[in-house]
Formats: sequence, structure tokens, C-alpha cells
Amino acid sequence: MARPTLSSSPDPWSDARLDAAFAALADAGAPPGLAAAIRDRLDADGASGSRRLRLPRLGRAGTVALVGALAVVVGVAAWSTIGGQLLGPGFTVSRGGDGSSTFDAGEFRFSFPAAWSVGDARTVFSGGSVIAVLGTSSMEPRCGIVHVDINCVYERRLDPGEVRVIVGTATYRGTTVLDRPDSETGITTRPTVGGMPAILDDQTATAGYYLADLNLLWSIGRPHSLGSVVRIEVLAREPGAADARAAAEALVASFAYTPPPATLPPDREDGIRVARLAIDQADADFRRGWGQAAGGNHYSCQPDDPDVPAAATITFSAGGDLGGEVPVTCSWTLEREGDLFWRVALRVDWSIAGAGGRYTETLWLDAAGAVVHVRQAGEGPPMVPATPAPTALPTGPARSVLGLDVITVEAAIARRDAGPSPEEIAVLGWVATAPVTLRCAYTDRTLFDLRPWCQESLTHLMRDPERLTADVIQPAGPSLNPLLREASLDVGHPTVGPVEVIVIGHFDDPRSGACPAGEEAECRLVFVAERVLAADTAAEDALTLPRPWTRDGSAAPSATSPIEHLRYVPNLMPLSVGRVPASSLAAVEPAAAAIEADVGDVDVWIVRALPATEGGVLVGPWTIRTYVVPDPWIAQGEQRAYEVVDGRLEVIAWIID
Amino acid sequence: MDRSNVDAARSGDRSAFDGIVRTEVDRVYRLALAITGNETDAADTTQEAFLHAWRHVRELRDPDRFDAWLGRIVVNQARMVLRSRRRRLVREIAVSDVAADAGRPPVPAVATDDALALRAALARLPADQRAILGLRHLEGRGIAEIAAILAVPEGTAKSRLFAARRALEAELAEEVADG
Repeated sequence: MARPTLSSSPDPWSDARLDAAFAALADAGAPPGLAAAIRDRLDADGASGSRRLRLPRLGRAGTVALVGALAVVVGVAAWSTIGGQLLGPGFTVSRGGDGSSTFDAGEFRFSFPAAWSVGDARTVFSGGSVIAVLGTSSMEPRCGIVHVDINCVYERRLDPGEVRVIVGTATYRGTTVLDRPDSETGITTRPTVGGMPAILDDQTATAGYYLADLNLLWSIGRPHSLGSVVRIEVLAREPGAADARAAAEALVASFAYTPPPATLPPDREDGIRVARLAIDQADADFRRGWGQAAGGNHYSCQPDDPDVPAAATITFSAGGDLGGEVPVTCSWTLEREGDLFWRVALRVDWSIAGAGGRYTETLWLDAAGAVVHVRQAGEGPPMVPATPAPTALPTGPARSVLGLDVITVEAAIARRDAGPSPEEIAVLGWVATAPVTLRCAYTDRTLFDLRPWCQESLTHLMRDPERLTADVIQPAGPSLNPLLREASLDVGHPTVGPVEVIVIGHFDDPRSGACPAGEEAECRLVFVAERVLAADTAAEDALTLPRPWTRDGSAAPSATSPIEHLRYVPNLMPLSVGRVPASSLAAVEPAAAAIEADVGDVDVWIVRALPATEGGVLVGPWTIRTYVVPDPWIAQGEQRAYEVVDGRLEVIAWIID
Repeated sequence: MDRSNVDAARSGDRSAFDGIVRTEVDRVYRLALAITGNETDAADTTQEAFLHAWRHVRELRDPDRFDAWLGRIVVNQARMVLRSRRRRLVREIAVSDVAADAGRPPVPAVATDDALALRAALARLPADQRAILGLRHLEGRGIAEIAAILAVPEGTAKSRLFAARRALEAELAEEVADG
């Protein structure tokens, strides 16, 4: 860059001259919109709960008095609601004038004695969470003050006279709050709480460790999901257990959902209408999930009206492609489940070679028709015996997708075995996952590894449409173990299969060098997928926006914004888009791990793309390019992005004249 | 600085903190620009500084020291931004086809040749020297305040300022010679 041209100035740099020059620099104001962008960041910081409460955790020698600790907790809770916005814990506490306080978690609220302490104990575990710990005693400082370590709480026995209440959520496996069996170790009753069916387990007899004289557990059905509950567990130790029971019952009596669950309308026709919509929606989801625009007829065999069986022919069942047409009888019934839910029972019956079978699926719908629980029984009809599979692509005009020639699984394997190359390839095959839950050794998923993790090894890209079962988890024919972890799927995840697809991906991934020591060569042989298209995808449809992937399977917003953000990078053809927290980049894109230090633990988009010509057509061979865009850069219209180039992180910037 | 806004922000009042952002954003940006030397990094620094300030304002013990406290945050954030930038290459992509949605921050209004020379000279100084010069000449802060912001004894602040000033003069002399 050329240095500025200066006019001749004989004067030395006196204080006055320097001050004048600095004053001229000081004319620079913040760019328009910066203050607004800061306010947006502040809003996002608070609303997302990413605000870090950095009050110090006290060590075992902490000397903060009990009263002081209580004051801090109440203070934080009050602070968190200022302006009506949830800034801190995932709940708010407000004090009433009648000696009670209100705990409000958004979804539900209840009252409790104002003298009790409240600790934010948010912890998520498989299928559930702990939200808060309330009680007559404050936590020990070692358990935390603002954020309470729930495992530390679980270790603590009760003090004499102590009441402890743990609030959280849980998910049942294979059952619901309506039909969970009674407790084997306690006394179970089934009250209604907050308008919802609930279960009360009196487990006092088994609460020995805590020295509790009272142990009540309410599991309260949640309006949006019958398979999950809000848990309120109350433990108390004498003296005062009777008062504790009264306080707990008052707390539960005040429990209410926001909004309260709606009761069903009296007219059965309303139920039929919402049931029909739910079946149609299941049909649409099923077709999309299996990538079958026309043939995914598992649900569409159901008649329009209940209690009227209809003969039909299906080619797909809940387990996937049947490999041919199977005659079945489909029917459904509708019943009320209490005052709050419709129960819709779908049936598919068949008889093949004299052997009959039945598949049932029960949907519970709320008054608005939303599906709040699904239960399936049976696997559907057996597959029609397969005709001999083709060993090569059908003859005819050569197929290509995005400019890549479509090759067979066998051809892909041959390329791998000839020495893997990072060039992108498109492979036509059948993808399926063996329906088995493996006992997996612990895998540290914060470490980078391209090799399929335990359960991922059950997914295969096969030459032939083989149906994998619990007994047959390995295809007989040629197959690859594709890594679909970071692939944008135009078809649903192949939970069973087989589904015919085109998988775009590559061997010899540039990240192989970051695999665990000694495993690099093995990583290079993994077929890393970017995009999975339905086999019948038309060439132009392959240009559609990729569906974003996430590492934890959670939903991500549309990929429009990161793709739009990168529109100034010349001639990119996005293949896959994913969204991860910056803190997990070390396990996803190791070369980009430093981004967290730059931008904090915000969500970032990872866009993998191929270079294209101006017309959007690929002219290979090409290797994948990786771009990383932090969410805030998109929000703020930053004209830059990160690119991983030869294992290094670079910033690319563009200036729009 | 409106003390009542600081007090209210310390108790969690977002609207009061928004008021602080409004009144202080230009000043913070200027200091950030002096330290980082480019608009993008200055804007990043400004955002991060206010975000950090909001997250920690409750920990501020003496509201009367908010100004210096914020200054320290800005200097530290600017150092962090510069540290992270040093790690990687920036490639520029020429984009010529769109003018309508250009959102690039305007180049600071630098009206005089002296200001141009100053900016160029500052850019060649180490970040810490740019920071201390910015605090002294852009912010008009005294030695005691600078020492508090940089968390160094006053004597150290004084000697660092002197050294920075000498370095700046040397760079300015080179600017004139080059020009």
C-alpha cells in the first residue's frame, strides 16, 4: 500500500501539531449501525442463555455464610428477569405478597414458600434434565451458589428438618405417563396436576441414603409430549416432615402449564378431521424421509374414514422398501384418551403364503391435532424376494450429477483400493442401517476422528438392495461404510433402509492427518459424504439448497443465510452445510479450532463446496473446499469468512465497491 | 458518563446499558481504531468490549471508575483481536458486481496530511505503544488514569508513554522523509 503523500512541513512534531493530528483522527466516528449491532449482540447473548454467570465458585474452604449465599441466589434470580427478558437461569423467581414465591420456567410455573432457597441446577442428561433445586437449606458452597452442581447435591444427605425439592424433566422409554407401570418399590397414585395426567410415587420407604422421612416424586405429563414428564421430587427429614408434605402438596396444587392444556371438543368429527390431517402428515414425512416422492405408500394406504378397512397394495412398510408389491388391508380407529387426547390406532394386516401379520401404530393427538406420542408395534410385511441385482449401472446415457459422473459402489471401491484420492465422486447405491444397538466402548467425541464411530459402522452404502437385520448386519455384496456425520441429506437418515441414493463424497479427506496417531492411513480410506441425494434426483434438483446437518441431530435453521453470505466467493457450488458451536470445531474441522478464540463460543456454519464455472456447472476433477462462517458475521453483514486451505485457516475478505 | 446509567446497568438494567453504548460507542471505536489500525478490527473490538462490559458490569466495584474500567476492557479486547489476526493470512476477493448492498464502514474522515502521516506512523508501532498513545492523545487521559487502565504503576506508564512518543516521532520523521 502506498504511503500517503505529504506536503512539505518544516515544523518539528510539536505537542500542538501532534494534538491537532490526533484531533483529526478523533473525528472518526463509529460506523453507522455499530451501536445497533452491539445491542443485537447483547440481546442475543441474553436470550440464548449464553451469558456466563461468572460469580466465583467457592472452594471447600469457602466461608460465605448461609444467609449470604441465599441473598446471592435470590439476587441473581431477580436480576435475571429485569426487563422481562430471561438473561440468566432458565427460570425466573418472583416474590409474592403472601409469603410465597413463584417459580416460572416458561413452560410451567408453581408457587413455593418464599423462605426457601432456589439454586439453578441446569443439567441435561440423556432424555431429561435437572432445572433447579429448592429447599429450606442452602447448598453447601462446594456445590456452587449460583449454579448448583446436581451431582454434589445428590451426594448430600438431608440435615434434620431439611426439605429439598428437585425440579426437572424426564423421558420414558416405550411408555407414557398414561400407562407407565406402578412403582415396584413405592406406592403409586395417579392424580391430575396442572390439568395433565400425572403419577405420584411415594418412595419414602426407599429413601434411606438421604435419611429422608418423606420422599415424594410427581411425574407430570407434558402437554406437547406424553412420553416426557416434568419431575418434582420432594425429600424431607424430621422434624417437620408432615409440614413438608403439606408444603409439597401445596406446591403441586399450584402447578400450571403455560398455556394450560386444551380439552378436546365434544364433536367426534373434529377428532376425525385432525386424525386425517395427522395421517396425511405422517405420509408426507415418511415419503420425505425415505426419499420416495411417489412410492412411499406406507401411510397412504389408510382409508379416509375410521373403522372402514380398505384393501391396498404397498411397496413400502415401516421398515423400508419391500422390494415389490404386497397386498394388505389398512384401517384405523379413533378414541378419546381422557379429556385431552385423541388416540388414533393405525393397522396394516397382510397374509402372504398363508402366513398373516399385523403392523400397528398408535398416534396420540392433542385438541389441536398435534402428535404428542407415537407407538409402533411390529415390523411390517416381509420383503418380496429380490430379483438379481445389477452389477453395473444401467446402460444408456451416462448419468451425471453436478457435473460428476455417477459411478457404482464397485467402481468407488476400486478407486479407493487403487490409492485414495480426495477428488469428489458421486456413487449410486443402496444405503441401509442394521437395526441393532451396539454396546460401544466410550468414545470421546470432542476428539477428531474420521472413522465411523461405533453405531455409525452399521450404515452401509451397498451395490445391492440388501435388507440388514439384527442378525445380518454386514452386507453380502460390495459395500462401503460411508461417513454421513457431516452430510446434507436430501433423503431422511437411513435408519433402516435400503434406500437407493447417490452419495457425493470423497476418500483421502484432507483432515485425515488430524486422526489419532497411527490411524491416518485408515482415515484416508473412509468415504466421507457431503451430500446424499435420492437416486431419482434430477440434475437440476441437485442444485437446491443443502439441508443443514448438526452433530447432535438437533434442528438447524435454513442454510440460506450462510450460502447467501458466501455469494461473493466466486463460483461456489455448496454441497453440504452444517452448524456447530465454535467450541466443537476441534472435533469437526481441526484446522478451524482457533476460531473459538476469535469469536467466542458462538454457532458457526461449515459450508463445504466445490468450485464451479460461472454457469454453476462443475468441470472436474475437483476437491472439496471448506468455509466457516460465524453466525454473528452473518448477522452483522461482515464481508469475510474463514477458509481452510491446505490444513491452515485463512480469512477471506471481499470488498463491495 | 452518566453515573445513574452505570448504577442502573450494574443492577442489570439493559436499557441503561444501551444508553452507555450510545454515548460511548464513538469514543470506544476511536480508541480501538488507534490500537488495531483498521476499521474491521476496531468494530470487532468495540462490539466485544461492550459485550464483555455488559457481562461483567455487576462486578464493577466503583461506579466512578467505569470510564477507566471500560478503557481497560477496550485495550485488552484490542490486544486479543490483534493476537488472533496475526495468526492468519487475509486474502481479499475482488467483488465488483454489486454496489447496492455495500455495507462497508466508511473510511474514517482524516482531513489533514498530518493526520494521514500520523495514522501511517501509528500503524508501524507495536500495539501497546498505539494503546498508550491513544489513551493519552485521543482520550486525553492523565498518567494516573493510563496507569490504572493498563494496570501498571504510574512511573511505568510515564516511561512507556515517553518511549511510545519517541517511537512515534521517529516514525513520523520517516513519513516526512518518504513523502
